Amino acid sequence: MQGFEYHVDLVFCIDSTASMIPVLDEVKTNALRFHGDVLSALNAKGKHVDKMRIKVVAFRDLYDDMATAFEQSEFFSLPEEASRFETFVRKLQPIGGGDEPESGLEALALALNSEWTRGGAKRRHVVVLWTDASAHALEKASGVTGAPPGIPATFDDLTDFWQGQSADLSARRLILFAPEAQPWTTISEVWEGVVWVQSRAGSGLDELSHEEIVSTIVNSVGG
Amino acid sequence: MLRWLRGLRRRGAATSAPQSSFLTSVLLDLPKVGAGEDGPALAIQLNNAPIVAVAVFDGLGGSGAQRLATPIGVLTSAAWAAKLAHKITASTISESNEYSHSRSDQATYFSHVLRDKLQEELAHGFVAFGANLEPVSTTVLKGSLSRRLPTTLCLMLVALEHSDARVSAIWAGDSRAYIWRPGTGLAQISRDHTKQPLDAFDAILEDAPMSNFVSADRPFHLELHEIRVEGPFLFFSCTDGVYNYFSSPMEFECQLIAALHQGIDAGDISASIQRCIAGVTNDDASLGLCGVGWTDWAGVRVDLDSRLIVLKGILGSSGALPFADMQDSERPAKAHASLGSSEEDPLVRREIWRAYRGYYESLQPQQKGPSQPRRDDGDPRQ
Repeated sequence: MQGFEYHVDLVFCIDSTASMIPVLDEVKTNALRFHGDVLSALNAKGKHVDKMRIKVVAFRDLYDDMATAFEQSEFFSLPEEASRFETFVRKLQPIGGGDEPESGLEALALALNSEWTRGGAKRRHVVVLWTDASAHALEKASGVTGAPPGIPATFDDLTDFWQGQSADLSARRLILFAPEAQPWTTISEVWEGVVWVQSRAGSGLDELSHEEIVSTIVNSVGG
Repeated sequence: MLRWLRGLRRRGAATSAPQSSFLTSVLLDLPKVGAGEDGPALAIQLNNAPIVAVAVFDGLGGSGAQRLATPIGVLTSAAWAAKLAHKITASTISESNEYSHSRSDQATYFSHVLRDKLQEELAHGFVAFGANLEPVSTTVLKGSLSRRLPTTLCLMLVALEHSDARVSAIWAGDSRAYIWRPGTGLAQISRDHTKQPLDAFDAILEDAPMSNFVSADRPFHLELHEIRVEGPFLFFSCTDGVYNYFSSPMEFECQLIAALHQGIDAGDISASIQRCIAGVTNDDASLGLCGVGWTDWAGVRVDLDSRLIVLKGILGSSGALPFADMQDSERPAKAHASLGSSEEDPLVRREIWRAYRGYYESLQPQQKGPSQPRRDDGDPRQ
């Protein structure tokens, strides 16, 4: 085969507020199978993934309880650390939140601030975000102490961050499992490299939908 | 428009176009396991003009993964787009009657009119056959990466004119148009529509997002670029599954020469190229190739030998045997091995590219601004 090595990083941002109780187990299941499906599909296309890593950013509501607003893991190398990844995901508990919006944009910022791989002939940085709510404006956090460092002050700054000033233009992808609400509507329209998955029936993903999403990632990862 | 749906093939096949001064066309369609997203390649010789057209279509799997209930069954949006583009292009060419033998600029006039007609037919047809198709899953994919019926298109028209030929490339996306000439070798005629300007060497690694391609939900444009070429030469359109899985454009030409040399007729050549490509990728691959100026494919093989000698001089390889001394089964491997040791080192590979790229890039349109027809009658590196 071609011989180019792919280094793929996945960051999962998972809304872990109480409203996610009905679907969090399904989200966890999807998160746990996602990387394996992507890897298998890439191998089937003859694209050799030399290194795959995965990281989790669980988020809730910064203005509800700052102490539990974010839970971040390190990057887990796969397959060697698959069990540690699974342990982290399964330990996530749906708590807090209570009402919209949640801190999805801050979580997205934390994901984009990850120590992304710079190795491999071809690199892919994929963020997958699951939420059932809109998100607080980043501007709201101005002057709030205790928030995680490195979060852009405005949505425009975050957009600049995504669009290339601090990221590899061709390497990144964002998959949104989010409702039709702001800021997700704007992100899907304005940001490059975004797939926004919307349920038609108001229920979870069926197998066909999962295949479509994996196919989207694989075909865009594979060039 | 329903006539376009009749006879849609699920797989391409090697076919031949009727020939006058053109060689028998070579068509290659390699759908990946499961479901291909390249439309079948096509080759058409016009009945009323000395023109051969070859074209390829590559559905964008990343943007068009949504599965739709189409008139011919469940397909991804990308696969349906490529098939639609094939049918519309074939229909538009076959029904064209703008070639006028009385015009002094007949080939140029024809290519411009055809490009404009094709643009209009594609825009209309994609909306008509894509706007109301229902997804078959429980989700709808939206966002900047998700598009309605996204596909590339790359069409080459070669019109014989007196002592030379008028070559026109009409394209949207990163499927490419090439010519190959004895002595000077491979040249890319089109320029990829990507958001980052990249040369063919860097494009292999960078995988830049496309800036323009055919779709049902966004405006697109078909770029047209024309050159004049003296024969003999080969011309072909191909999707990225053909060219993008070799380590460099030089290796692509080398492997292509080796594959062409193995065949004695269009069917042989198609099979040989298929083996060559299957050795480096599992992705979809489509190619439409023809030649002009030789009496048969045997004549092409002689010039392939000559080009390999020139390549060896450019690339500084050693130890390679001329094709004539090789067993047929050895040729592709030996052709690559002749470059193998120097090709392994990326820095050396880049240096070789610097020496090679002069003619390869010399026939492309300018990066910005209107393209100008130019005469190709020598080696621009000299």
